[in-house]
Amino acid sequence: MIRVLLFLGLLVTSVYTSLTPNTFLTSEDKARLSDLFKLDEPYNDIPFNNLYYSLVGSTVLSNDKLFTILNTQQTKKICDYIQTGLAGTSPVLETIYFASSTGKLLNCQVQANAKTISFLENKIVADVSVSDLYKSALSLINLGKPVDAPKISKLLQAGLKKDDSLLNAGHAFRLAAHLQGAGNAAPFYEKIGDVVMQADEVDGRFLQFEGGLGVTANIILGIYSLASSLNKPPGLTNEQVIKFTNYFLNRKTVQTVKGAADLLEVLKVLSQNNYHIPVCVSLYGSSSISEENPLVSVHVTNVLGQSLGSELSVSSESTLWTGKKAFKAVQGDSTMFAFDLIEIKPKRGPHSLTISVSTSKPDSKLIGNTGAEIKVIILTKVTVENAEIGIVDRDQTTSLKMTALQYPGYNKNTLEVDQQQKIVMKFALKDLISGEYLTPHQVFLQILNDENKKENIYVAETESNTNLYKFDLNMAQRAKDFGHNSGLYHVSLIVGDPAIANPFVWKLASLKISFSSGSTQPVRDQAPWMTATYKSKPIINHIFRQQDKRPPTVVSDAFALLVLVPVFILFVLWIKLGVNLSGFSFGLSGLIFHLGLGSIFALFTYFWLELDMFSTIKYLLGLGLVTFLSGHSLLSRLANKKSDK
Amino acid sequence: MFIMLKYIIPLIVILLNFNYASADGETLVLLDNLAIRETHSIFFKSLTDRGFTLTYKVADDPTLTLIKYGQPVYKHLIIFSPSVEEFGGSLSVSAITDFIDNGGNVLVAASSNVGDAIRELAAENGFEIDEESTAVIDHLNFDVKDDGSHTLIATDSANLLDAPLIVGDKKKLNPILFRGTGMISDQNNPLVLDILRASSTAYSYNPTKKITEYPHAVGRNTLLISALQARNNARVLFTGSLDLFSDKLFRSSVQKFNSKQIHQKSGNEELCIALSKWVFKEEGVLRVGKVEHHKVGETSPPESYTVMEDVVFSIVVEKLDKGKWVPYIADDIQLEFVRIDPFVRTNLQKKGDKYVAQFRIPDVYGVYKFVVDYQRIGLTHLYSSTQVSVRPLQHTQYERFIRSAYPYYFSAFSMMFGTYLFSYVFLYHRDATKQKDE
Amino acid sequence: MTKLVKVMSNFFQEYKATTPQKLKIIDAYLFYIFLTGVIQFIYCLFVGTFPFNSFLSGFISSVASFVLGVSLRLQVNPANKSEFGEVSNERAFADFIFAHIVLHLVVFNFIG
Repeated sequence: MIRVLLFLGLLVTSVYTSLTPNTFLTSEDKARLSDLFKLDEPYNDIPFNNLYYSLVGSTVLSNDKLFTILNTQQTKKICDYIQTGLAGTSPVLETIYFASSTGKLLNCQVQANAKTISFLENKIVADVSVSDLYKSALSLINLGKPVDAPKISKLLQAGLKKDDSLLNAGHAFRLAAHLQGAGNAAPFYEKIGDVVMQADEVDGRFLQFEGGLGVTANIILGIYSLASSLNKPPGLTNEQVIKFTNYFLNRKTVQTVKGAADLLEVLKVLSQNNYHIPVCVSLYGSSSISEENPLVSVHVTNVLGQSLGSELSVSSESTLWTGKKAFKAVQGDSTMFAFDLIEIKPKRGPHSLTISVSTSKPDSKLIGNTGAEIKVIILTKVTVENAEIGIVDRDQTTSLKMTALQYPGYNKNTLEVDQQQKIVMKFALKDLISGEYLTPHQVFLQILNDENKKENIYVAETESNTNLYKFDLNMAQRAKDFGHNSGLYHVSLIVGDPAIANPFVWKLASLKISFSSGSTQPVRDQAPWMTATYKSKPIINHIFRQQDKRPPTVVSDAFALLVLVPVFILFVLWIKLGVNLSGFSFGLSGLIFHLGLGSIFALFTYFWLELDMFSTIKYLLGLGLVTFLSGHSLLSRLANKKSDK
Repeated sequence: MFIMLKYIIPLIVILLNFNYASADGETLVLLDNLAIRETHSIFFKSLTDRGFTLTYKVADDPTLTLIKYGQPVYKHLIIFSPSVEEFGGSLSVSAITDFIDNGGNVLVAASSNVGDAIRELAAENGFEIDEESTAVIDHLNFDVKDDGSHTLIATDSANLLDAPLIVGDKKKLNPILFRGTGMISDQNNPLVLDILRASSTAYSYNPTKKITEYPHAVGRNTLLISALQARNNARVLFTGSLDLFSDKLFRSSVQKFNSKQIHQKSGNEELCIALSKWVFKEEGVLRVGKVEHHKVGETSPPESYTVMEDVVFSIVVEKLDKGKWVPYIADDIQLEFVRIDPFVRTNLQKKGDKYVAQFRIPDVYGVYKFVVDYQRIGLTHLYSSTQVSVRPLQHTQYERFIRSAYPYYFSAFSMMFGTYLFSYVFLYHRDATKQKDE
Repeated sequence: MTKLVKVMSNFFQEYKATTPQKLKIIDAYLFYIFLTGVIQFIYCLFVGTFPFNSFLSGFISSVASFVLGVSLRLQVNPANKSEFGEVSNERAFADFIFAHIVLHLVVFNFIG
């Protein structure tokens, strides 16, 4: 198992000891890219640059057989469209460049009008930018017009001196490749070394230029076309080419039409030039080898995924054997080679194979064809032996009654455990193929609450110096994990490892746990503060104070009348006493006094019914004054009358 | 004079735009290296298509800054730089925390070589990311394209949180591919959302080391994607896998170990787009519109209410949908009438474009608030509070002429009447002729 | 018990004989007020104090009227001439009426 870990260490830290590209342009990649290049009619709506790039891409994908994608009618329509771009009244450099390039690609016989030609020629003057020079010169070349190579060469050098960016370098190389005549292209060939030095290395595997895919592809294409036009070697070492190739293949998932076109152009060059053909060796399928999957299969192709020829022999060295063993070609696929690894009965664990590719006639163009590393893991099957589980009091350490468990069966009886006890489990894991005992990476015990689905997972450890696993769980110490929730649980053993072909979750027994002390903790999703935060709160209806109970109206009415009874009693008593009003005299003051008093009492009645205190006081003052004066007068008269007597 | 205008008008325009709202869609993207811009181009394009303006910078770039001249430059922050040890320029974990405190949204992706800066940032937000060189391992749920270490996890969309506002329609999602390190969250923090959990057989550990101590994250506690919505509604999303957002996994097919079923495309693209819509406040954003309250039968609010009056309260709640504010429809928005504690709590009913409730004011007077406090998973916290005063009954508002008080009324009148009669009798009664005269 | 009855009847006999008629008239008036108050009080005992302000108002009206009546009787009683010599009957009556006006104003404000 240690070897597995070391192997994984190598995998994970991504330091590759071999540089050979381990991927290529697969058919899925090609399908996706060809979707990008789809052209929908009417073509006249498509901008010229997209048109150009789509056609470039389609050309590469169709292996230069563009007629498989576009029929003659469609080609003619495109050519007509291009013709309009070249016969405009106000020429635009971009349009002309892309239109003319498309024309060249499709072999349309298009003519540019005189205005366009003179516009282009006027661009080839002093102080022109490299990019403009490139586009105008190439447009003229595409249109089959003659160009002044020495002049262009001089202007190009001047432009580079002014601005020697990497983008311009790429343009310069590509333009120089078209310059005929001695000495015109040579100065640029000298610059290749300087430019290549500016490349950035990433992770020890990739070489790229600042600016990304477009700039890098432009430069590489430029280098190869310039070198081939001069019939000289490109000036790149094998290692540099492989690192550039790795970068390009890493950019397979490019999403833009221009990026995809650039990528395909450069990959095409890397599959077809006279100096460097990178070989891609990639593992096909899973790196896990087992009895169900005994073959190690590799794709051996060029960068475009094409076969490198029928005379290929693929062999491999490994720590698993001495010398070389040959991979057999797979029937029906000239790029695939396989080797039956299980046949040689390899040891369980990770191993690496070093692949070499050669042709019957030695071909120096093939690079990256040796030292390609393929990593595989030999899987094994695991089983559980001598498993037993038991419950013991936490103080006791003596042997106890253990229930034997049979993998993969389920123990029928429910075990019962409470807070004073421990759960103890013993088992061993055995390699079914070699018979040895294993210590896989993951050996966990899961105890799952059937009701609230909360799981507790514990790591099982081996007893010292043996490969036997022992697990014990002290319920008192671990009560908090379970949230003190008593109930029905079940126990499962989880075993897994990169080198195990049958990892499993073995549900082995059910458990009834009872907790006596401690307050139960709810599961997070059902915790009160979660519910309070995210759910509706209970409705509150305010309970109004109860109104005082009132007596039935009968009772109140009865008493109301009863209260008036004393009035009658008063009358009766007074009559019995012989009340008289003999002293009454019809004096004005008397009259006014009694009237006043009566009106005051009437005012009070009206006050109770309608008025507020302010108006009442107002009237009272008036009435009171009158009553007072008249009363005073009456009383003095009565007093005088009495004293007269 | 007009020349001056040529300078003044643009100046005014700039000044008017120099507020937080103008940093709309301005996003800073921090990367380990600029190649990530190309390897994650589908995700970035989905953002720019929706109107975000992305500024790509390497994470230790010394010119980095979130605030310029006291104003925030960016509204959102994407951190796709797992291995950064220290942020460059004026950026730091505390600067990012301040950014969140000011309402900025952050999307962070770690990976198996996560640096301490990202781990510290996660700790500030309630999560613990596992150490460097660890990965989430699942020996029963890995994709067949895995390199043998069982770290390319293929997890079912059923393991996602039940929150369509955050993850979209999870029933329609294909399995998600994940390769990275694991996280755990603080179980007592109610603001934390566990968006994607690993399965029970997963664990986060260093794949090259034997397990000698309890793994950082085990089983369903292992979080693959998690998020936090702060109390100021700023949203922060963490994941342990930068590859989750990569073009490669977006385009990849999914076939689980030991399963014959092949999904042509992983659910990563739909999930990541849904997550980005939530994190950057395009989804799940509510706002309060007009709040009105008045007595039943009236239309404008009185100066103060009186106890036991019937009152009608209405509120307009709107949701942001594709950049436009549309009415929000729910049946569980509640209204509380609070004087320190809520006296009344009732559900609001949708009537037309408003949510309306009617109730009787309690018979306790005081200063109350109409409170609408609506918090649901995936939505911003909606809070509206309107203060009103409730006065007790005026002395003229009590009940009068009560039937059961008739005896008292009658007796009062009787007393008055008795006194009036007595005035006559007292003044004019003459005793029978004095027997003394005899 | 019989002793009590005998005392009461003696008391009534003496009362009838010795009390001047004017005072008897006032006494009748007082008795009427007293009855009214008692009836209100019994009502309140039966049905409770709601509405308390009305009960108080009505009851106080009776009680205060009784007090004013007693006060008038005291001042008018010839037997008390030594105490209230300076106060003429008319003055006592004027005070009585004034107090009643104030009383009834308050009663009708408070009775609700």
